[in-house]
Amino acid sequence: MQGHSLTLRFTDHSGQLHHLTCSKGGQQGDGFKTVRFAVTNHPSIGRVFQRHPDCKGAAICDDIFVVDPLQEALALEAELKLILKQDLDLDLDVFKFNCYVPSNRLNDGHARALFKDTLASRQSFLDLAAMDAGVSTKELRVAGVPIGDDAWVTKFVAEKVEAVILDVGKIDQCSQMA
Amino acid sequence: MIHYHMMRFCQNTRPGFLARNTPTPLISDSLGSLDAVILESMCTKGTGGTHMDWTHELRSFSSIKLQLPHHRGGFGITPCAGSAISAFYASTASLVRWLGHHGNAQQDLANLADVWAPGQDMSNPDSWTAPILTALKCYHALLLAEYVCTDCRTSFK
Repeated sequence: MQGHSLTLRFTDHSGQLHHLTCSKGGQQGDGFKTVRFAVTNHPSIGRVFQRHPDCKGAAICDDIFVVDPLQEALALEAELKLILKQDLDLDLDVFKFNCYVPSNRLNDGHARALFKDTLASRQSFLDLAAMDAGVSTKELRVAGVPIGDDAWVTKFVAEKVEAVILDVGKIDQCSQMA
Repeated sequence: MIHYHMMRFCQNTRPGFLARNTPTPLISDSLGSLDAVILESMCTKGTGGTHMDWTHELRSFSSIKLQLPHHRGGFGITPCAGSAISAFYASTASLVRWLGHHGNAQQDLANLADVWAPGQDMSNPDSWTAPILTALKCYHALLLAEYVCTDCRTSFK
């Protein structure tokens, strides 16, 4: 919103009017918003990665993907959470904070126990422990792309397509009203 | 007309991102369902529902007309399932090209190919074992064999 608060007004597919008061974030449809957001947070994210040179990472805007042994990856994540809050007042999204343990030897229960034990091993991980991250040996979503075993990827895509099919029905309703 | 534009540009394009990034066999059934729903919606809107009385042949013909590109006399609603192979192929080939260009450790950037595709020589498809790269090889062969595509080079490098 570039420092300006405003009220967004929109009418949904059923004709219901909504008013949304906004003071942060960007305006939907602002084409340059994504670039401005990425350019703003890139230095903060980059500095954290510089302090963890052994960690591999890729990111699109604030969707960050870290590949490393658990202990090192969590150290980076803990620092990232702190720095993003300090520098940019950004909070890590609990829903998206997930740990993928690709392994043929561990099941999800073992991976969860390993994750919990590792979180408990350092004081600096306490913040992350409170986020109750999802842990899986079969599924991961990176920037909206499903990665994991075939059954899960198929299910993920089917759910996404179901959402589109639902919206097709809403457009049918809209055009009938028009 | 508004319904057509919203269907074509706002809904039919939405699975494109997943189609580019997911091997087609895992998504083709779902995308086929979406194609059918969009065609049904278009026909219902366009005929006021009278298309329900059409013969199977006439409905197939209308589906073809709706999905053909404009320059071939159609309405340009690209079938999601049908375009998924080329979407995945183009996207993954771009990734291979990009990783190949950054596969030199002497560059300022890290050797990205080694970091993100360890053990996979980007210039040698025979060395590929990663699922996404083996899928790319399969689609390359499929496009040549069944879709009348031609390889502009004598070897796939």
